[in-house]
Amino acid sequence: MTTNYKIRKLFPIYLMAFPAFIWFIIFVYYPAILGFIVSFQKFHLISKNEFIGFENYIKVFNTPNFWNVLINTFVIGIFTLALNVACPIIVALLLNEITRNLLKRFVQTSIFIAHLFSWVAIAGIWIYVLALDKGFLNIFLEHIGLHPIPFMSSMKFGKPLVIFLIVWKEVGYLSILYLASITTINPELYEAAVIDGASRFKQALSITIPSLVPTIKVLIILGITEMFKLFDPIWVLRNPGNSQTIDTVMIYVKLYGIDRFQFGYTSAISVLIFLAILIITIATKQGLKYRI
Amino acid sequence: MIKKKQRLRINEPSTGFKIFNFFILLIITLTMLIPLWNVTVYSFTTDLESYEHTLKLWPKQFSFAGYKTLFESVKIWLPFINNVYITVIGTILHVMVNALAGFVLTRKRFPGKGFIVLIFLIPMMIPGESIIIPRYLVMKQLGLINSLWSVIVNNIANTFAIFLMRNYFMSIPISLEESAKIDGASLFTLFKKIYLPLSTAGLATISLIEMVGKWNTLFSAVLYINIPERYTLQQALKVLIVNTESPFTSGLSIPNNAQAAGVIVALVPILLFYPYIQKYFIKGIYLGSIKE
Repeated sequence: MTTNYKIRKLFPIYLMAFPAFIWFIIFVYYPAILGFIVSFQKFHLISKNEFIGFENYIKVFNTPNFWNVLINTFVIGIFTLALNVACPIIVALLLNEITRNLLKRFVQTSIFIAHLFSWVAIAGIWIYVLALDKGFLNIFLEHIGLHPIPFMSSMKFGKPLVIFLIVWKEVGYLSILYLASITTINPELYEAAVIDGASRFKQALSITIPSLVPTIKVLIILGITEMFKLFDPIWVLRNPGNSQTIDTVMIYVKLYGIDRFQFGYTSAISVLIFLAILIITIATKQGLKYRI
Repeated sequence: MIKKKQRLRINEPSTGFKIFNFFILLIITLTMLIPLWNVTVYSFTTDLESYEHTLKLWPKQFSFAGYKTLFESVKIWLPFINNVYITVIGTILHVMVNALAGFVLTRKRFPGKGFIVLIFLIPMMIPGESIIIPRYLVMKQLGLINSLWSVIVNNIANTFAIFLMRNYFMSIPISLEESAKIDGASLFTLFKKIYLPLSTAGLATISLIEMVGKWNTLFSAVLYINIPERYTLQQALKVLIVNTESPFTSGLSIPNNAQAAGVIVALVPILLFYPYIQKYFIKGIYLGSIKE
């Protein structure tokens, strides 16, 4: 084999890999390194950046506002994850009990669809349900003589609103995932249970749910770091009334980094987020004894 | 057959349980459908009726006034076209780049393969969210800020899509390739004439996932685009529906029917593709979770 032949054979392969390769270099590797460097710098828009050591990192921990958004992120993230794991199981179990296929399909279709909606559309849809002036729920409350509730613009309802809407959006989609694993369960297990006189509830508890554990593990591992990516739902739902309680780390990075040009400071936050995601993912995998 | 019937009879749920089950699922389904229906009806009301806030199940007088305001006064068609542009171009590039990269990974050992695999795999551990600030700086260096290309380019290569395509390509019998090679087919011909046509399901999966993602893009648009002429649809609708004061609406007061029409405009393309999306979305996630 001559070198010439080798090159002719290899060149198309490299050429085909090139677009993805160069994309990762420009938009992942280079920014990752750049972000790490900038996090140790005081960033100037015009003049040259200067290195300031760990000053940005110290500033991150000394900003009360950052702690606030971090707590928001954790609270919203943990509750969302817990409900996103639990609620779809219940829906899947209920769906699984339906014997008529047409009905099952109808329910599935109508609850899955929200997964595909943009957050702007979801906010638009729910404004007409929950808003103080336009929402039919509040109009109804007023109608029966109660005070309308500012679901969309108060501190008290901020986090529950965000969590509820995320669960509302994803429950159908996730329940279909569960449903797919339920259908792979060996039906003989249920027959044996029936013969042993187990009730339906007992069957669900000791056959169906245990066999969903692998799916649950995957969803937890994939979902546990989603909190650090929370942006769209908060961005469309935040207003002066509730931003204090629902602003997440991502919102904070956007507001301080891009709007106020504090690139060094927010890069430090990004590096910390990266480390947090890495550690939490590894810890969760270890904790769940998940291997592949 | 007889055995199956017996099994069904043994395990038949009681009527009481059936009614309970149906009732719960009915509530869940209605929680999904009523808000959506309500906003749809709002979009077809007259200006006057859209200010009477109640649960709307049917318009008193059917009207396209909301859509007219939306397209004529608010000029939503500009962001709409921007959105179509980023979705079409973005999806095409995404599919081409990742299909090519996935194909490269099916090639037998060649020098540098390990390195390429590594370059494709590592980005899975670096979430885009943890490098948004430096990526913003890169976009700035490339002169893409306030260009629609910043949104298009944001998610071209993607590890998940690459490996999904690779798995599809791997399932194609090698004998097909060998016989084509005997006929003197080049690598590109193999890719184009054999591999692509036989993996349409894979191509549909990654293109639909990317299509929905791009159509609903809010985060990267908010980061990179500041001028109203370049707003994507979601950005424009966010302004229109959620906070009505902004340069985009230039002080117009937007009637509720136009806001509701905005929600519907954002959803229509999703609803049109819904049957295909439902089919391929689940598949994609399954392959994804197996891979993780």
